[in-house]
Amino acid sequence: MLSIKNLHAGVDNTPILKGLNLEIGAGEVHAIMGPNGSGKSTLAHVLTGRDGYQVSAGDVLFNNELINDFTVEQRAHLGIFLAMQYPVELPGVNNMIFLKESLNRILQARNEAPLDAVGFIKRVNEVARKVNMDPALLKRNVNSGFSGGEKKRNEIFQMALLEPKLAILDETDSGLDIDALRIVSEGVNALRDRSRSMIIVTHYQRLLDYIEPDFVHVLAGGRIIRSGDKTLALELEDKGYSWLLDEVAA
Amino acid sequence: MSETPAADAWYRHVLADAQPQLSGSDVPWLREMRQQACRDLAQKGFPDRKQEAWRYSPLGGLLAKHFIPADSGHDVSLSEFTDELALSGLNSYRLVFVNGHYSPNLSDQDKLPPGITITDIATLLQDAPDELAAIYQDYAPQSINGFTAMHTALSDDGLYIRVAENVQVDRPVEVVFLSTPGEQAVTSVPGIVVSLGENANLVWLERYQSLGRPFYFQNVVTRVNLESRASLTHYRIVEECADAYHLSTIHVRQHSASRYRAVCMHLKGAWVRSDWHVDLLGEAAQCTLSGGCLIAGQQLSDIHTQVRHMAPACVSDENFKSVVLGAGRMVFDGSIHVAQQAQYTAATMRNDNLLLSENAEVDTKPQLEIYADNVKCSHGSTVGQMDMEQLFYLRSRGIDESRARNLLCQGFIGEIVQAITLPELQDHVQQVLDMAFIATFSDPATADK
Repeated sequence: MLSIKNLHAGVDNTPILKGLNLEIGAGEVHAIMGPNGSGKSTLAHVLTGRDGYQVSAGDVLFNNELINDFTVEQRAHLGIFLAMQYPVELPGVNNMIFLKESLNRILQARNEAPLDAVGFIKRVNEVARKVNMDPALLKRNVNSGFSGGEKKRNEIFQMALLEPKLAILDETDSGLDIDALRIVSEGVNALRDRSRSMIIVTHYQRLLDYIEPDFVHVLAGGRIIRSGDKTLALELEDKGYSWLLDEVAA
Repeated sequence: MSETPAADAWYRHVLADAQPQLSGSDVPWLREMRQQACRDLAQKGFPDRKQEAWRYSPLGGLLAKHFIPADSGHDVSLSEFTDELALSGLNSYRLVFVNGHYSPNLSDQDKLPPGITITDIATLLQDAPDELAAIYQDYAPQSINGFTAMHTALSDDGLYIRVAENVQVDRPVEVVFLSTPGEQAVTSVPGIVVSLGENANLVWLERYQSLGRPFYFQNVVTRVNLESRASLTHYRIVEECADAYHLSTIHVRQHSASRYRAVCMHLKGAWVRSDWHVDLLGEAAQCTLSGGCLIAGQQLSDIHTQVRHMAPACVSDENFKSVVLGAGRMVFDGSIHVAQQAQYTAATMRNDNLLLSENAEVDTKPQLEIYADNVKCSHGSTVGQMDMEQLFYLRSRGIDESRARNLLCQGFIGEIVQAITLPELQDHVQQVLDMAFIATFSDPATADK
C-alpha cells in the first residue's frame, strides 16, 4: 500500500529525514517510536504533503503511484488521513458543514455519489455511535472550546466517517488521560480491517497496550534503525532508547 | 481655512442653484437651517486628512468629482425591482427610494397596522413641516463636518418612521435606497428619522442597492430616537455600485432601558463609510453595534463609532470584523466615552480584521475615555492573515484549497452574519459573501500563497 524509499526531507533547509525506508502492506498496523526530535512528526506531515516540508530525495509510493508532488487535498482524496497531534480550532466553521463538505468531496474523488442532507445526518449518527462520540459536539464549531480529549475523539470520528485507506495517528495519545485513551483506542480498533493500514506515531508503549501493532519501528536521526514486532515496544519501555542508539552507533 | 477650495466653490454654486427648488423652501425655520448649513460649509469646508476623524479616509477622489443633486431619475418598474433586487420571501412593509426620492409605485405600505406612521419627508414638508422642526434642531447637530452641512443644505426627501408607545410592529420595515444610471454623476441626500415611543418595538432594515452601473455619492443622515424601554433592531446592508461613494452619519439617542441593536454590512462600494454617534442618555440603556465589511479591489470601508455613556448602568457592545482582499483598505475608529455620572457602565469594543493580500491595509483605532470610577470597559483589535494551520486542517480532510479559504473567511465573519436574525436577509448576505470568496479564491493570481 505505502512504500517509502530512501526519503530525505526537511523543514527550512534543515534535513530531518535522512534516507528513510518503510513498506506498509494493506491492513497492517505499524507503530513508529523514537526519541524526541527523531523525525516522527515530520514523517507524518511529509506523508500528507504539508506545505513547508521539502522532500529533497527519495520516493513515496501509494498503491504503486508516485505521490511526491501531490497536494494535501489530492492525498486526502486518495485515502490518506492524518489524525493530528494538535487538532486546530476553527472558530465560526460549523462541524456539520465542515464534515459534509469533507465527506462529499472524498466520495466524489472515489467516484461515489455525494450524500444529501438526510443521508449525511444518518451516516454521521451511525459513525458517532460506532466511535462513542457525543453528537452534541458535532453541532458546535470545529474543535472550538473542545477539551483535549474531545479534540482527539473528533479526529477519530472524522477518520471513521471518511474511511481512509491509510490512517496516520500522530501522537494521538498525548495529553489523554487513561479513560480517554481507552475510548480513543476502542475507536481506532473498531476501524481496523484488512484493507485499512495504519501508522501510529507515539512516544510511549502505553498506547500499544490498547492498539496492538503488527510491526514496531524505531526512528532515530531521521532513519529507521530497528524494526520488530510488538515485543520491541516492550523492550523499549523497559530499557529506553539509549541502548539501541549506542548499538547503532557502535 | 479650507483645504479644498475647488470642491467648496463647486458646491457653493450647486447649493445656490438647488436651494430655491427644494421642498420646504417656504418654511422659515428650514430655510434658515439650510442657509446656516451653507455658511457652515463655506466657513469650514470639507474635511481633510489633517483632521483625526478623516485621517485614513482618502477624500481626494470624492471631492474631485462634480456631483449634482439627484432628481428621481428614470422610472424603475416594479417587475424590474422585484426580479433583480427584492429579497425573496421576506414579508416586510417595504419603502423604496430612487436616487433619494420616494417611489410610491415600488413601495408597499397600504396595510400598515395602527400605531406606526411612515411618510416620505417631501410629503411631510408639505403637510406638517413643523413636526420635523424639533427633530432636526434637537436630535443632532446640523454641521458636524462639510458633508453633513451639505446634506442639511440639500436634503428635502427621505424617510420618517414613528412608532407610537407600546406598539410592537409585526413585520420588519424594509427601506431600499436604489440608485439608477443617469446622464451625470449625482449625489443623493436622503434624510432618515426613526422615532420609537415608550416600549415600542421595531425591526428596521435599510438597504442600499443600484441598478446598472451608475456613478453617485450617497450622503445620508439618520436620526434615531428611542424613548424608555423602546427596542429597535436596525439592519444596514450597503451594497452600492462598485464605483459609488457612500457616507452615512447615524445619530442615535437612547432613553432609559431602551435597546438599540445594529448589524451593519458593508458589502460593496468604492468608498463606504458609516459614522455612528450613539448617546446613551437614560439609565440602563443598551446598545449593540456590530458589523462586517467585505473589501475588495481598491475599495475603502470605514467604520467610525462614538458611543457616549451619559447615564448610569448602560451597556454598550461593539463588534466589527473585516475581510480585506486585493488592495482594499479598512478603517475602524471606535471611541467610547464614559461621563462622570455614568457609573456601572459596561462597555466593550472589538475589531478583528483578516487581511488576505499583501496590498490590503487596515487602520484600526479603538479608544476609551473614562471619567467615572466604577465601570467595566474593554477594547481590543486584531489584524491577521489566514491561519495556515487551519487551512492545512481543512485541506487534509479533502477540501480543496479555494473552498477551504472560503470556509475560513465565512467562519471569520460568520459571527456577524449570524447576528442577522431575519433568515431571508441572512441568506442573502451569506450568498454575497460566498460569491465574493469564490471569485477571489478560485483565481490563483489573487490567492495569497
